[in-house]
Amino acid sequence: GEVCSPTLVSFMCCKFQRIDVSKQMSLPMDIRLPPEILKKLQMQSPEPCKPLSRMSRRASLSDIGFGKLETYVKLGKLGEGTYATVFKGRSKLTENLVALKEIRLEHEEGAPCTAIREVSLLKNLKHANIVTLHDIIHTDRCLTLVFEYLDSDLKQYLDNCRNIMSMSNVKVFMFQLLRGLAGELKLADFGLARAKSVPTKTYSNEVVTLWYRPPDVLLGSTEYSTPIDMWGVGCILYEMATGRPLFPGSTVKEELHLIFRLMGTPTEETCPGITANEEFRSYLFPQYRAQALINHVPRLDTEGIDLLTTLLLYDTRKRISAEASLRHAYFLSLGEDIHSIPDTASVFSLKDIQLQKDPGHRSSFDCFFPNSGRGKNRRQSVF
Amino acid sequence: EARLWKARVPKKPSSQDADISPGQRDEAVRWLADVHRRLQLYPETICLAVSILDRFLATVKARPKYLRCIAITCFFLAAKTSEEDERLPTLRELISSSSCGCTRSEMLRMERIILDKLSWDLHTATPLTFLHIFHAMVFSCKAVHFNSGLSG
Repeated sequence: GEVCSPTLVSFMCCKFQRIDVSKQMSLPMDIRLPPEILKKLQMQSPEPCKPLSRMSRRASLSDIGFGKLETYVKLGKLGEGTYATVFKGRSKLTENLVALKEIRLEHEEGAPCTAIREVSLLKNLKHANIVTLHDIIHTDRCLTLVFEYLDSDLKQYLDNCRNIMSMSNVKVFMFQLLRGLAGELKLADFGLARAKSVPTKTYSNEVVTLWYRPPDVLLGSTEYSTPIDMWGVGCILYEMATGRPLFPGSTVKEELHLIFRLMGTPTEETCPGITANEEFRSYLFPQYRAQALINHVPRLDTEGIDLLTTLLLYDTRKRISAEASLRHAYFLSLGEDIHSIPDTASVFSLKDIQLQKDPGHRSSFDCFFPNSGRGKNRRQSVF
Repeated sequence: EARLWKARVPKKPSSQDADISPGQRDEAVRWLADVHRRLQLYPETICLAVSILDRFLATVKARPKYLRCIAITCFFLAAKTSEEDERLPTLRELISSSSCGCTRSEMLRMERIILDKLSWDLHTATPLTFLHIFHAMVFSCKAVHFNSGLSG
């Protein structure tokens, strides 16, 4: 259930708590009460201290500066796609950094469906491990989405530590990733996830990389469900632990080939129904035997290898779920408290959870390898 | 509790031509269902369209002459939200197959108004969502009963 307790007081507390956590917030998100909650508020306390009416709330929000382009200062371009350009920016309201995603609206068909899906899904997701959408500015020419600013994505992070991450950081990042997915899973149960097929284009219109796709999808399964994401999570665990992508194929056939060479060519035992799959039969892959993962990820401990193995199962019914993996033995060392923090709080709100210095971090290595900018654009984007 | 129920009853409009009556709303929904049948889209789309329409009509006062334009634009937004890209009807197709009598620019303007009024909150649980959940529950219950019947 994403609906919090319907009192203004609890919203204010929630707001302050989030600021204390000092998550990078540009604007206190909770000022923007969702209409359902506002409706509820009006229904439950119609008497003396009636909350703001919709009209006056709208007026006051725009007085504050919500929904106005003037409220944000552009600082520099972060990236560009065919569908949108992302700028780093600052909110004049809070002086915090934000990411401004500008979507051009030359569209004949009105608001692009990708933007509609992105916004309406994100508005329903409030979780410390899912990027927060703070504001929407809709003008004739342009739609600007204001997101919380994130220092860097995983790809930049890995580049920055020269692909050698501390194994304890790998564990914390994995936990955060799975926490984000588990949250989404809860919402997906209520039918919020639209996708019935796997998109081939991202929101920014990039072609999605094949590297994180499970074999069932590569072999034509159109059933979009959470086990699909879990395969990708396994690929990311490997990539964080080794600094290399697990299956960097550039075509579907090559991708499958890389997977089968390491994990073994699927059989009726490991992947029920595979022998009846026309596409699989047409490729005529050799019969590879599964290799021991430990030889490929020596830095990962036994529990980590076990988690990786259950993430990379061919049989989607046996592949571990996000919820179950949060309870996996691999994460036992993070302590028991990590399971009881609220969705909206960061795992770093616990004293014991801290990031370690990554062995390969630039500042500690720069004096030794001043010019080894290891292939910056080598890695494709994950999502 | 009584208050809770009372709040859900749609208000009677003071004069017929000033606001959209429940009857006119129902008629628009039936018309959308027709359009939906002709275009053969997902059932999710029609359910979401009706939900968007009702939520929009609850926030604004609209004249009945705009109802068709509002309804077809809600339908367009619902389709954009829940249909596959390749099955998404274009604005032109939607206008011609529904014979709603609106122009493209009217629909585009209406789209902005609806998105703004609903602050882009299009995704919501619809009756169909609950049907899916109940359906899944009935099936899992059946299996449990069946198994316990066998063992007991």
